[in-house]
Amino acid sequence: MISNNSSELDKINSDAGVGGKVQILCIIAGLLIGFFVFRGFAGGGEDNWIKDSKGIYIPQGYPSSVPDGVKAQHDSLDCALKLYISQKPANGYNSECLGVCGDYAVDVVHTPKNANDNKQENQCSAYLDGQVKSFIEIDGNGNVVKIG
Amino acid sequence: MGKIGESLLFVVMGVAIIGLFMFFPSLRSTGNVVADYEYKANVGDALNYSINIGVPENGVDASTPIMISLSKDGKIIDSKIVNMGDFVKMSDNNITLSEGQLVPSGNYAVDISNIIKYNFDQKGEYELYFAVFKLDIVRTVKITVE
Repeated sequence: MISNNSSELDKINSDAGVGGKVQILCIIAGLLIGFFVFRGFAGGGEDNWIKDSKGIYIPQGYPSSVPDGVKAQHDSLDCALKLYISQKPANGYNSECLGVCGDYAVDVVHTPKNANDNKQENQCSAYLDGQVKSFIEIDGNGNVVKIG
Repeated sequence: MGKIGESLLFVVMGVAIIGLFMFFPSLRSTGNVVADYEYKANVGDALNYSINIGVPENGVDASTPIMISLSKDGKIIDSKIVNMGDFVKMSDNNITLSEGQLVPSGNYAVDISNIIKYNFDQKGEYELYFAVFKLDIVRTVKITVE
C-alpha cells in the first residue's frame, strides 16, 4: 500500500515537473515571439546602428535615436580627434599614446603596423594596466584605423 | 502537453531565435555598410560631392572636428580633418566664428573640392567618407568610376 502510494506520488511529482518545464518554455517562446512581432511593428528592423570594418558605429538607414553605447563611442572619437589635432608635433606623429577619452585609450599607429607600434612604451599604459577596456587606433593622418 | 507538443515548442523557439538574429541588425556586432549615396563617374572626372552637415538647435562647438577621407579598395588616397568653424566659413552660409564660439543651428554645405581635390585616375570603386562624431554623423558615398 505504502509502496503503491509512493509510486503514485512520484508519478504526480514527475507530471508536475514536466508541466512546469512546458509552462516555462511556453513563457520564453511567447516572450521571444512577442519581441519579434513588436520590433517588426515598431519599425526598428532596418534602421539601426551597426559597426563598420573599423569598429565605428554607423547608421544603417535612419535610426530614430542614438543608443548610449553609440553616443559614448562617438564622443570618445570626437575627443580622440581633438587630442590628435592639439598634440600634433611639427614633424608628425610616430607610434605613441595620446591619452584617454572616456573608456578608450587613444593610440597613434602606423598603417600597416610596424614593430614600433607593438613596443610597450609606445602603447597606452591605461590600456595595458586595465584602467580602460577599449582603444582607438589612429594613423599619422588622423584616420581611425581600428576600435577595439 | 505531450512529447510532440514539447518538441514543437523547441522548434518554435529555435525559429524565433534565428529570426531575431536574421532580421534585426542591432543584435549583430557588424554588418554590410550600405552607402548613403552612390554615383557614377569616368576616369579623368573630378571628385564631386557637396558635404551637407545639419547642426541641431543648441549649436555645436566651432572646434568640433570633421573627418573626411577618400579611399579606393580600402586604401586611403587622401584625408583631411577640418573643424566646424572652418567648414562653416567655406560654406554658402558663410559665418566667421572666433575660437570657442558655437556654430549656430542650420544646414551647412561645402563642395568637397574645397577640401579634397582629386581626379579619378583609375576605374573601380571609390569611397568618400565623412564623420562628425559629436553630431553622430557618419556618411559614406560610393563612386563607381568607369
